[in-house]
Amino acid sequence: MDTETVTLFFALLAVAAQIAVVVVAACAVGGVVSPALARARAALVTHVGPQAYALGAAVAAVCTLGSLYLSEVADLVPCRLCWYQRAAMYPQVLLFGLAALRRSRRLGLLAAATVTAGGAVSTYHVLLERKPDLEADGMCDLYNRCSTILLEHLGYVTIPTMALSGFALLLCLALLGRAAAGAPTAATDPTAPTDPVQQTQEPT
Amino acid sequence: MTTSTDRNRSGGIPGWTLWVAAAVVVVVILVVAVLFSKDSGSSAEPEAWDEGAPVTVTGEALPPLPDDVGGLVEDPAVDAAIGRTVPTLAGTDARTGEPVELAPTPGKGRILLVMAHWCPHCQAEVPRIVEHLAESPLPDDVELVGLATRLAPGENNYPSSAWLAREDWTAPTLIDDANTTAGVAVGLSGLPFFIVTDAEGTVVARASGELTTEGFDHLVELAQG
Repeated sequence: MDTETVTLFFALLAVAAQIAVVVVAACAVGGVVSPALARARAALVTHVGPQAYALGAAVAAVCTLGSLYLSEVADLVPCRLCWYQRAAMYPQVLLFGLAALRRSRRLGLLAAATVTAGGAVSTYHVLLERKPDLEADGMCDLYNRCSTILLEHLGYVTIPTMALSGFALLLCLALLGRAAAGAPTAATDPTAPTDPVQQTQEPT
Repeated sequence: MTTSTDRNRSGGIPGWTLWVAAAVVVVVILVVAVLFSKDSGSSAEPEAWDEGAPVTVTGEALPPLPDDVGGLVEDPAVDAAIGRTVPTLAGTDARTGEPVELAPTPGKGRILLVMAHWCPHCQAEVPRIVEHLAESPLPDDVELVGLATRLAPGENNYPSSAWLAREDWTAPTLIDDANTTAGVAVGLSGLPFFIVTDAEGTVVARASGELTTEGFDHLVELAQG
């Protein structure tokens, strides 16, 4: 399989992640005003929540392997901002994995915080690709090419866009996992709290 | 950890169905990627010389512009290249694949634009210059030449030949080799990069970074002496 096919595969995975994030965000935010979306949010917590940490570990593993493919196989040299995002992404495999094993809301919170930080770097990187003057004053650095779009699919999916999609999906999964971990009766009790902000008790 | 059996017992969907659904989505995406990958890439096929071609440098290489210096530099106290003779570069034209030599032309000042296909500032600079020169052509005693360097096969806006053709770039443009021999010879420190020489081939100014059209006109004045 050539590099073009593999990177398109990553780009399409990113699009799938974006769709999932939009669905979760719509249920989370829309649930405040719409009973139907509130039910959808509760269903997400009930059905996806118990698997969310494990799914997060899988997503983080795919992101990690994807970034290693881009640098080690496709020979795309990571820039400074890419390394910051790698530093935020790689530990998520372990963090989400441990959270899944222990059903820990604290680990879920730590994962949510770190993926948010990684997502913030990705957001800045995406902006820098579109507005290179944010960092360099009209000039491309020869050795640190953060503003350079190394590859692009579907007219907008670049490497930082893929990373941002991964971080956003991981944040959704961390919050879903926390909600499920804090609501062990949610599956059987539809009145049990499903909003993560309503739950503060760490399960044993 | 909740098991799929627990989920069934509690009335939820079995946990494994999520994993199966996720696997199906991934497989479908993989199939789509395989089927459509050829249509999503760059439509431009690289020429034989786009990965770099041999370059000959005649004369002493210019020192790099100091890292902390940006914009236009005309002061020899700041840029040690000012007052020195620019080396002659020979090799292959990035647009046509024909032999090309970037040597001082007696009686003509010269502006050398060093660019890279992946650099967003170069991507902005080239059409700006093309458009400006269409409205305000260079005087007869000044010529414009180019150097396509820091080649990165497969990366954004590759290959250089297609990019320059797309932008209607008509100036003779040397394509560098994979080791950036020509770029090093002119003291490249950032992109885009300008080297302005007078009618004797002496460097009178260098600049790194994008220029306004007024800034480019100033380079023309410097090249005229």
